[in-house]
Amino acid sequence: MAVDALHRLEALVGAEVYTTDPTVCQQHAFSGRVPRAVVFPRNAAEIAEILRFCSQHRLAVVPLGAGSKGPLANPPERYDLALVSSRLRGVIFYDPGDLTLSVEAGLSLHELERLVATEGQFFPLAAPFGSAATVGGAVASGLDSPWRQFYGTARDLLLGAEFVTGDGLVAHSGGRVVKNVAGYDLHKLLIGSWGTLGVLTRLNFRTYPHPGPPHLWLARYERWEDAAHLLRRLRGSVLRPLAADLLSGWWAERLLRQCPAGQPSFKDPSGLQVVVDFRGSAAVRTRIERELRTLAEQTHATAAVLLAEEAAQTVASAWRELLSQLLVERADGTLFRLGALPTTQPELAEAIQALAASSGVGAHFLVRAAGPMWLALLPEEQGWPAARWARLLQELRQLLQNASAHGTLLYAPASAGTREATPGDANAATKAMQALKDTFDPQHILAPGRLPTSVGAR
Amino acid sequence: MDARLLKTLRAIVGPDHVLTEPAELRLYEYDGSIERGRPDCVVFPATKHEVVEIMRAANRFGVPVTSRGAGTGLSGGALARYGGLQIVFSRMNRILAIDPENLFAVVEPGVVNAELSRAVSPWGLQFAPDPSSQRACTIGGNVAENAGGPHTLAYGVTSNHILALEIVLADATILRVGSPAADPPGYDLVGLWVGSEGTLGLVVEICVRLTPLPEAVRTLLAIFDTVDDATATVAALTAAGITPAACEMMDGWSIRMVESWIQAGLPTDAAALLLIDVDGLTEEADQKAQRVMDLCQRFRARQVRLASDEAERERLWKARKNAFGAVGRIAPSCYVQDGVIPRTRLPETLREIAAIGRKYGFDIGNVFHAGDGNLHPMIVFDEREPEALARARAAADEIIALCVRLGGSITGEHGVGMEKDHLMPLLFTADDLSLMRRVHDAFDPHDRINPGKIFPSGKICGEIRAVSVHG
Repeated sequence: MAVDALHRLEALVGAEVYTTDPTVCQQHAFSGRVPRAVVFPRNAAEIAEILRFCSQHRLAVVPLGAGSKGPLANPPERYDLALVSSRLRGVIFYDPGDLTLSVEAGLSLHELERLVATEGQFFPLAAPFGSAATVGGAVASGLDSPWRQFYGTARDLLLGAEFVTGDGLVAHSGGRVVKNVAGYDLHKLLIGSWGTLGVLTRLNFRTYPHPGPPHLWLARYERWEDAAHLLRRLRGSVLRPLAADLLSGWWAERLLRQCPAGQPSFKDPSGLQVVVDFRGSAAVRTRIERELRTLAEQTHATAAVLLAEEAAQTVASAWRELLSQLLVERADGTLFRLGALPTTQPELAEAIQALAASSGVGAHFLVRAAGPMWLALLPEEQGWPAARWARLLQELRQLLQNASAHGTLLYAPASAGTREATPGDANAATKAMQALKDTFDPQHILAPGRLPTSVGAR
Repeated sequence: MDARLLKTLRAIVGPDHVLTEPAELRLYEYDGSIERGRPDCVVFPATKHEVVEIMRAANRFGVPVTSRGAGTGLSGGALARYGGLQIVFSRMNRILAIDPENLFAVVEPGVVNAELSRAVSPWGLQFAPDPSSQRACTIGGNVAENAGGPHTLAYGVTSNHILALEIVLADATILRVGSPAADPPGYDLVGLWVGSEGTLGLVVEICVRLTPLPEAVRTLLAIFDTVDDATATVAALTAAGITPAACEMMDGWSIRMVESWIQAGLPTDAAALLLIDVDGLTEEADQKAQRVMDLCQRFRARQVRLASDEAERERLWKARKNAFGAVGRIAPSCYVQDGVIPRTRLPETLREIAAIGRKYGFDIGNVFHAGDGNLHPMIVFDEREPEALARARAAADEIIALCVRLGGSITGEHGVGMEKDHLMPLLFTADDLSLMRRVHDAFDPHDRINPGKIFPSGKICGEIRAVSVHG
């Protein structure tokens, strides 16, 4: 029956939009799951027509941009149709004087960044996978950037959106101006929803004046307590850095690889590195440098260095892409996003490191001062210890619950086996989220099961 | 109102905390807007468990429930449009936790905005949203309306500062959403809830983000001989990439109103003034102040003054924050509007607002958040004159339609409430509104919580043609 239905979809939207070409289908596979057809709709009305049809026939649809984050989150449980935004690449308007713009969801993030740069402006979403990612995918995945310390996340930048619900309603919320409280902010629900609530078609953002080239300062620490202390001081500081992250293990090593020769102490990946990006006029930077030196002393840094401007540019680019680089270099690892109160982070990190070591994996942290703790668990020998995976995950859950920390499993290799759903958690928040899913996608056809698994406390 | 319900309510909160006398209820018929809505009964719970019990009782008797903080709202959002129970959160006004290390506080909904900032100031912290009513308005109301204020230009509106909420739902269950730690899993329910105008549930506990106070603040007063020069200056500031912490404009008419009440030393012959805060590190604030001064002068400011000390700063800001009060004191009636436009359209918008005033024969003053294009035209009328209120509403609707035509919004911070429900179709299509209605019904299927807000009633809905602002 489903095969017949798909054929009828072709008749409905035309061969220009619809294909079952095996090569094209293969290009849109998720972790080995291949769709039976791919559509390249040209506008929201066409998407609405497709989704109404798929809702009626209960065909599972996965909205896709460039597919750059395909390996992240959970693979879809069912997958009939890939809905690709590559034909939605327009700039609806850009009003530099108002610092606002509206673009179609399939526009590439880099293209948008280049556009605002022509007006001396900055688009601080700066999500990873930037060289391939679409704006819609960056928003739907809800991934953050180092610069959230100053600019916030998609939630703070997205002013309004147009999207299509699972049952084919073209809807708008928010607006194009920087201040607006009319109606429910439904677009905020789509941030980080991984395509499970609607298909984003247009996005309205605010932009910012360009802050000038990055100025990076690095400090080395031996103890979690000290490094985390610096991070907390920066988070609540009048210095207002643009970014401040704490890196350990692989993350630190990968970033420091970008540092030029002549800074040998920062090529050694052992220990903990704090990286700070601060900008401003020469007078402001001199002041911040002075304050950072004092802070480093007070928090027992073992070394600190200010990068030269050219090096800073290279390191900043690599910094932004650490998450995507992890998947390129260490697809055998797993990636979690943990949320814990800053004061509880050192103890939690050390407990996780001890747990990981006992399971033959290394725990590598990327902690944002104003954000989550990104945790990569990387096997130390060849191959993921699949047999120990279930137990490790269970013990990690326990640690997180004891620390009242929440967590999301964003990536695991196929060899790790199935990702069990979070057990026993039909609490009120889960029920409310299910009610929203039922509201936006009554037939549950949109990216079924793709929302990442929750692994911590609620 | 059913005597059994009243008996139940008195048992829940105590007899002293239930009002039913018409004279007492009349106080709750008003807020800061021109709307009216009288509840049948007002209850003052002391705990969230009492709120749960009240909600249960309301369900048993099929009575609507509307929540209220200090009643400073400007769109009728907290008024009991269809009567029923009004929950007033004035007794739930405790600050439950302050965590300066992790930069958050947990408060009950009745905590007054300015009191929270005062309580956290010893740690050099603040709750950033600062609506003009901040000495009276409550955090619960700020959450409901997604309140703004002058300094939201640099610091963001309420939704940027709410980390988690505890909510009593229409079915009297408790829902906790969000987390004081970053990026909780699942959908952003906090993002949905903030600004939902009390229509999705009763917020009983709020976890807010605390923001470091800036090291230095510089306040500038720029005086202009034409409104056009002032608005052009604002557009130029934005275009030049200068982000002040606040950028407020007051036109000549408003200056004279304010000056006749509070002697802040404002020049009563000016056509407009800009009140601008720049902040940051001392070095940064000083440099920004210089850039702002240069720019004001380039646009023919008659005078640009840097407030010399904290006392002068406070005097200037007091004049700004009391502007609506000053007009209210002098004018028989004043209708404060709230619209938003793209900042590039400021000069032409103010000219058109003046034309609308002339057309209807009203004085329209403008005191507003120029830096983010959030207008607050004040329409002065005499309610005793026949049809004056209706004409004031018509003039206001024309201003709002203008904002929408220029790509803006029908409200920037006051909310839709019962004031602007009929204007929602200017911004949103029938499909947009039906999806919002579906989301509403997912949480409140019997329309028990704050009914009659946001959503247009059917008959008006069809009369206004929707125009898309989404390009």
